[in-house]
Amino acid sequence: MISIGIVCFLITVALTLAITAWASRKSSSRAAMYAAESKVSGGQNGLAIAGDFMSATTVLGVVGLFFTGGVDTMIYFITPPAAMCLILLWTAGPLRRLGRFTLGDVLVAKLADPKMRVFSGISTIVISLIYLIAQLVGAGALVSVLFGLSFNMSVMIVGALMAVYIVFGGMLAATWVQIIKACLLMVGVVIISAMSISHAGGLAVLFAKATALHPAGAGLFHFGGMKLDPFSAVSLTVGLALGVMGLPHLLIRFFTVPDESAARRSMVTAVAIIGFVFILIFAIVGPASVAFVTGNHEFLSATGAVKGGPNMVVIHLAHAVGGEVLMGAFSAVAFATILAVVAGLTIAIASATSHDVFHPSRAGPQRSEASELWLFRLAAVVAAVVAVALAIVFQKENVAYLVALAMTVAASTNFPVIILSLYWRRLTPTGALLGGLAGLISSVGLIVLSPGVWVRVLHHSAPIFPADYPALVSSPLAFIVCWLASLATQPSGKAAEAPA
Amino acid sequence: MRLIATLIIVILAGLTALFAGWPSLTPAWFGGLIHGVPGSVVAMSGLLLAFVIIAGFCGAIARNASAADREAGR
Repeated sequence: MISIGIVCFLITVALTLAITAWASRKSSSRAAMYAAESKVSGGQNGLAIAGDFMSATTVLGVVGLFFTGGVDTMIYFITPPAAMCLILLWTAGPLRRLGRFTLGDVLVAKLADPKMRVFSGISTIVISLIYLIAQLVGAGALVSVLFGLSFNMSVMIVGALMAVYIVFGGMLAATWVQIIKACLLMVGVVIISAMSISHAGGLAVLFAKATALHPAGAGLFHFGGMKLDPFSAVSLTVGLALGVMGLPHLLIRFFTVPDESAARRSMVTAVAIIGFVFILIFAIVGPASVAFVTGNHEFLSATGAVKGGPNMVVIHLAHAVGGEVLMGAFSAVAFATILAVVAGLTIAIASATSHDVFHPSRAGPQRSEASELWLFRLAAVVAAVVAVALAIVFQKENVAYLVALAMTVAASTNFPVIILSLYWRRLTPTGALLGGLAGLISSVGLIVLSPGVWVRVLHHSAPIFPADYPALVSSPLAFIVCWLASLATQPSGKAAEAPA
Repeated sequence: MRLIATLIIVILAGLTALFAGWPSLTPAWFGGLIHGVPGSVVAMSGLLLAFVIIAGFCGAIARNASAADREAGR
């Protein structure tokens, strides 16, 4: 088992490092490192967006959630395509038209205040860092289960790899790693789905087996398995949908294509690919994981829990239906998935640091492009170190839950500011800053006070904020503060302007 | 058109939250079997497929709207 897994991992790593070496020869300028010189085609970018989005959450976390919570996990499947349709309708074109390298470029273009760049940089770093932790938790669990390494060592290996990709290959390397990963993931999910149906003896038999084995019985396919109260269900949906619309590492992909038309085309392609993979995962891989892993002592520890935790259920499924070969191959696909996403996230953090937080205009006119790129690379290394340390702290959390938290912060900071800056002419820089800060502080604060962190991580007896997903509170709060602060700080010449 | 498309998307996505938050509102046939496949799986897979189709329409709507966006300075 381990030898096949090692071979598949080494092939994956070698392939991605070869891409990085190739990309490093073409990535000497700022435009290349941040945005692949905006020469990526719409189709390629669609594949890259799909590769960037379908993360460890999709492959590991959501299958793990289905394993325990059943069809309620549909919230995780439906909201991203819905949000991407909304991005297509409202923000893809304007973002491409106004931005060059980062979301900070867009906000400065609309609001003409350099402070917006710092705000955008900080919110991008916070959101991407939480998302990065989720990916590293998934990666650590995967590598440690397959090779018997400690979780900490596994996470450090992945952290080192992601730093290498970005320091040397920039956006071009990340793009091609994401494209290849998207293709591998599609093939991998098709194969595991087909083998699951074949192994069960038909689709109907597969569902019957899952129903018979799951502790909830037929309740596996009834809503209510995750026991979400109405507030949590709506808040999770709002957080995921608006969060996707504010995810920096996805939105900066629009800067890699030459024009608006390509930006729109890339989003349509991405939704088609993501929809295809999600249908297979929801309708076949999830139920198959219940049918073939539940009660199978090969995949259970002495305590009766799934080895490696629920995040590893899909890897055990691959072993159950395809033996060591499929397990090794699918582990490599999952690993490539994680590498692709962490590469995109690290770029978002590094570019936000070097281009927004420490923008050349604040460093003085003497700052060269070379020094900005040096800062970009340093930021990538620092991001890797910090993310590895935090992943070790949060290693017991479900990766889908961690991603939901990142999206909650994105829904409460980036999304309100971006959408209002594009479609409400009376938004002022002060209004945007105060609203964004209110969203950032309230979302992070409420997450810390929620059961997920306050009780499960910090070990207090009861949470201060009762729900795990606070987007339903923090996102509207950000909008309200943006609105009130903008009305209070209208410049006299613009006071008569009507909303767009 | 953009507002109508947005409304349709929000309603469709909201259905899932509705069912997860208030399971008693789920249609009865979700609990049954359709050729051996649970009704909820059929319905939700269909919903996902619907979004793939909707994305194509959204692309066309966004293309038509982009000129208006440019004129409005967005």
